[in-house]
Amino acid sequence: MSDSWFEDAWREHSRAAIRYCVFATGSRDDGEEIAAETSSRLLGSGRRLRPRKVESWLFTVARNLCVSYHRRAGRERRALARMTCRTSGHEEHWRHDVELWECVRALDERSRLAIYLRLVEDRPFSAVASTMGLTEGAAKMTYYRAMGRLRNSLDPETPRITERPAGGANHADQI
Amino acid sequence: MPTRSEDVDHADLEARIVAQAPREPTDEDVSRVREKVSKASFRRASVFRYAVALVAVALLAGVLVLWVSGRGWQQQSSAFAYDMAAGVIAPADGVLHVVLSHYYSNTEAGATVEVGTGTLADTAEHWVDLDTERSRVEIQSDPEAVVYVVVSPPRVLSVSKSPLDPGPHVSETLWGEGGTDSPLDPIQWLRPDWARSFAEAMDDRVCDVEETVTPDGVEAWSVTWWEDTEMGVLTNRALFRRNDYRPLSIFRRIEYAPSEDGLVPESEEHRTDVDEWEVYAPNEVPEGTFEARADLTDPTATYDIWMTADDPRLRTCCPYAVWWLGAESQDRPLIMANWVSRAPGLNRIAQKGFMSVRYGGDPVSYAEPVEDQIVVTTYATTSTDAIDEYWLGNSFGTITQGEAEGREYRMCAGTLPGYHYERAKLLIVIGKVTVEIDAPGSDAALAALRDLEPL
Repeated sequence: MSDSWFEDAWREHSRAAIRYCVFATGSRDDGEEIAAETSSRLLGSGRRLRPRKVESWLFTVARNLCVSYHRRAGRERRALARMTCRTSGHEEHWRHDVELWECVRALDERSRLAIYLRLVEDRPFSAVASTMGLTEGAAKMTYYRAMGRLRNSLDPETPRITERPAGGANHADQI
Repeated sequence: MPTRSEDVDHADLEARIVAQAPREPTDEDVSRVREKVSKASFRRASVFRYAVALVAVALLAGVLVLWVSGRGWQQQSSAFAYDMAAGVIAPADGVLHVVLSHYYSNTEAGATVEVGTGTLADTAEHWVDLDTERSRVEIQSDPEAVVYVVVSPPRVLSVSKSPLDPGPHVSETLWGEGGTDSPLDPIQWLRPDWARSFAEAMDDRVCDVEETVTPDGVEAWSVTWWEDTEMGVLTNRALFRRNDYRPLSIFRRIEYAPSEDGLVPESEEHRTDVDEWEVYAPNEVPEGTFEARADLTDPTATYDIWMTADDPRLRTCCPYAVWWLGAESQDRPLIMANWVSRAPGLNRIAQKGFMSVRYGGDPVSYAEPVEDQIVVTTYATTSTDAIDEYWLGNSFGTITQGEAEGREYRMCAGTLPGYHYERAKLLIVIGKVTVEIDAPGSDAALAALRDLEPL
């Protein structure tokens, strides 16, 4: 724990990383576990990342761990529902708006991260893009598509936003 | 949060999310997590120590069994080594040299396309030095159409040659925060999206791995993983040679969501053959591979070159007289310069080329001048029609005319629509060029006019 580069990274990024994990999991305990695991991986990797890359690295790892968390949690919820005939419960900070949490939870992790950075952290799109390793345009697209999906899930009567690449084959990512 | 037009429709939803957001972590929260980090790191180290001990015991047992059985030891791995595959794709040492052939096909409604029957879309040669974050990719889609991009911090050189153009288009930008290119990620060097999804699939161990044999008889691992994206479902499959994990090919199939307008094919297939895959020692890489400074001597080329203040080409690149304000102006240092040899797609005043020098502001801002910046641009024309046309489309605010050393100038000043700060724009013809001064206000523009001198 004597690595000063880690101490610097911890001081600068730990709060945002913890808050994101709590936001994305809907649970303070689970979010803190994931944030701890993320930081532990940074420390254990021995990688001396450039300072401007650390945040992007942390959020990428945290995002991947949140993906695994939701997969695991989904399986557990389904098993629990089968055993107890209960539907899934709501999580701590979402308890006043369970409907919204159900829709946020249904999003993919990239969308959740974009929403978190843009809305909760109140960052400009250029900063969202930098943290997510995207171009600014792609960050905007990710965010607005996520909001569109969220709105569609909350209000199915609203006309759906078409989500398809503008143009033809060349817009697909080629190998 | 600033309100943008895109935001308006979601304002209620945004407020609803913000209201449910978790609170800022307190010092106590941060300390608690920090303690968990310490414990997790200790656990990790302990697990590592146990693992080393277990491996040692297992090795001893293995040697004993081999000795007893009298059989030779064969390297026969029955499990796919995820870390090894990741290490081959992003080697820690050396410079990766890869040549790829990319085939592409798409289906019409209901049609079926066999894998590998697609047409050759392009070939690509990559050089990647992860240690220094330098890379070069050269893509050839036609015998006479070549694009190559060299990333060599702090520069990015992009050259495209097409048979339809008289010469190559050469663009050199500066790399950095706010620049046009992102830093090279250790695993995003080929085609970012599949590489990223591959890394995630490997990390989560959510791929299917099978042993297979290629049509050429090579024993291989076949790794398949899936992505559910906005545009449809993507199936990815990569083949790795079994003995050393050298990538052999990558296949990607995209099943599009149904399209209403018929413009999008039902599915696309991409196959990439890995023709070469080798790691060079840094001193074995051909000289000039990572050179990102453009050679400015081709008279047929179109150049768009961004230079730092210390770039010696600043004084030599332009074939006509260029005006500037010296190494600094009004307490603003010269940050960067942009030379464009010709710009047929821009307004007429710029078509024969121009050179801009920027004082102050963000060092890597390619957009409009920022609030406090002074920009002096020398256009290689004195055409009255071109100047008038430009003035008509770009003047704003209060317009004035004046004279400096016997030459007439015109100036406009005010707040541009959409901006909250004042700018002034001044145009003056000097000899065979037209000089434009863009400054934060009319006083700064007139002061810059007084300081003008030949570069």
